[in-house]
Amino acid sequence: MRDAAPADDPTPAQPDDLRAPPPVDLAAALTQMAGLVLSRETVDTALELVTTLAATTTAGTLGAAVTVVDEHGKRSRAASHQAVQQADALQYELDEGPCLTAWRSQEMVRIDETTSDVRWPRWNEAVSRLGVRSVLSAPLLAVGESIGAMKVYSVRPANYGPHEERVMRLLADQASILLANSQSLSEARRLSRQLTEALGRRDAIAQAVGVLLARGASSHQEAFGHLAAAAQRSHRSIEDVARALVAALTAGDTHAADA
Amino acid sequence: MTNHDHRHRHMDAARVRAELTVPDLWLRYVALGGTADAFDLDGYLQGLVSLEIFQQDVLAQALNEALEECYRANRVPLSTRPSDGEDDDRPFGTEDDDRFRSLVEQLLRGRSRAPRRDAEPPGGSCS
Amino acid sequence: MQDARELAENLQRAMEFRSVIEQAKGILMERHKLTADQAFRLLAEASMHTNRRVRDLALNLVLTGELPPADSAPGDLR
Repeated sequence: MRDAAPADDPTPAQPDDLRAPPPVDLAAALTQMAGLVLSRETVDTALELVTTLAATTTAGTLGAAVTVVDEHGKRSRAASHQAVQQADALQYELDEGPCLTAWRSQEMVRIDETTSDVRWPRWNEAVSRLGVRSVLSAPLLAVGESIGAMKVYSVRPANYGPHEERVMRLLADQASILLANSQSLSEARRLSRQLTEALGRRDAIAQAVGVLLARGASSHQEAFGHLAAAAQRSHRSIEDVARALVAALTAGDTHAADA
Repeated sequence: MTNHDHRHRHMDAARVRAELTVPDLWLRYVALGGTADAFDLDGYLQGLVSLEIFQQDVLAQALNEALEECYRANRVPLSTRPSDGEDDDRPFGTEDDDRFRSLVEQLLRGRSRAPRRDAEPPGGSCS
Repeated sequence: MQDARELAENLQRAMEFRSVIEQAKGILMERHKLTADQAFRLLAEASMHTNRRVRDLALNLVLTGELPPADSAPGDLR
């Protein structure tokens, strides 16, 4: 988890001003993210950062959670507090809850009192037992599509009002862009890695061809033919035969391999 | 992940000097057998992630070759014979061109001066 | 932003060069009992001393069985 204000530090009360910037310096947070852009767990780290920002930006929050779904339907989640994690997971188990609704309807959802709200009865009952009394959930929209939702939970009833809704909306806008980019970035990274690995696999075959050329094969075709024949005889892939040949060479055992 | 080696700065400066984008550099690096992916390379050049020493050497080779191409592309060629044949103040006349050329070749131990004809790799030939 | 086709072509060419270099490494590994990395380093040193690209040296080695000697002239007078 990146450095950020701890979740139990309440943010100071904000004047009700539409033009006031969000209480957390998103630019700095995003710059910090830029340094993480090249790290391996990009999406997970982005999620953690967004979760921490949401939790520290809204006063009275017990914890925050974010769920994103990529185009393959793969879900990624982060939560800044145990109880929040449970409350969040319950939505998916019960297939009902404010965040799912926010996600599907692409509209912000607010619960002021879980013990008396009539929407999502099973979920409300379950989370009020966990101590959660108010919830605010904002959909994450990127390119007009819903990619998930971010939410904050509080143990105080009616903790969230118009001001918090505004803050969450601003954060959700920024977070959507960041998360959508992280996903494309993760995807790009994954493809890049796959490509690089595919290139590497071919190396063993080319090296083995070289070894056979040095041993007297008269052409690339002849050398490759040797490898193919050995692969067929021993029911292995050409790649495996090539790898074994090169490994035997490096181990100093020049006559071990089949070819 | 911090990167304590300053070689990456030298390399990134070389990349800039060779007028290569990171993707173009990665292609040349891969053509030499490099195994890091493009993101790792970019991260290394920015000092954000480390790169195995051997892979750094492969990268160095890619950069050195690109720098060499850049250098060659920027050299000023000697004047050549103009096609209209008007120019008179050359040190050797037409008949002497062949003699001149063979003298150069002799000096270089008879190696033929066949120009490179193979395709250039992408980017960075400083054209 | 390079377009996809250009990238694919460039990648194809890079793969061809790499294939030749890996074959050259294989030759050196067998002849001189080197690891793949050592073989590359050998090619890189030769490149520095002959002022030729590794891929040119590799092609030479694969086609003729030899690396050009260290005192050979640079490949280009232009």
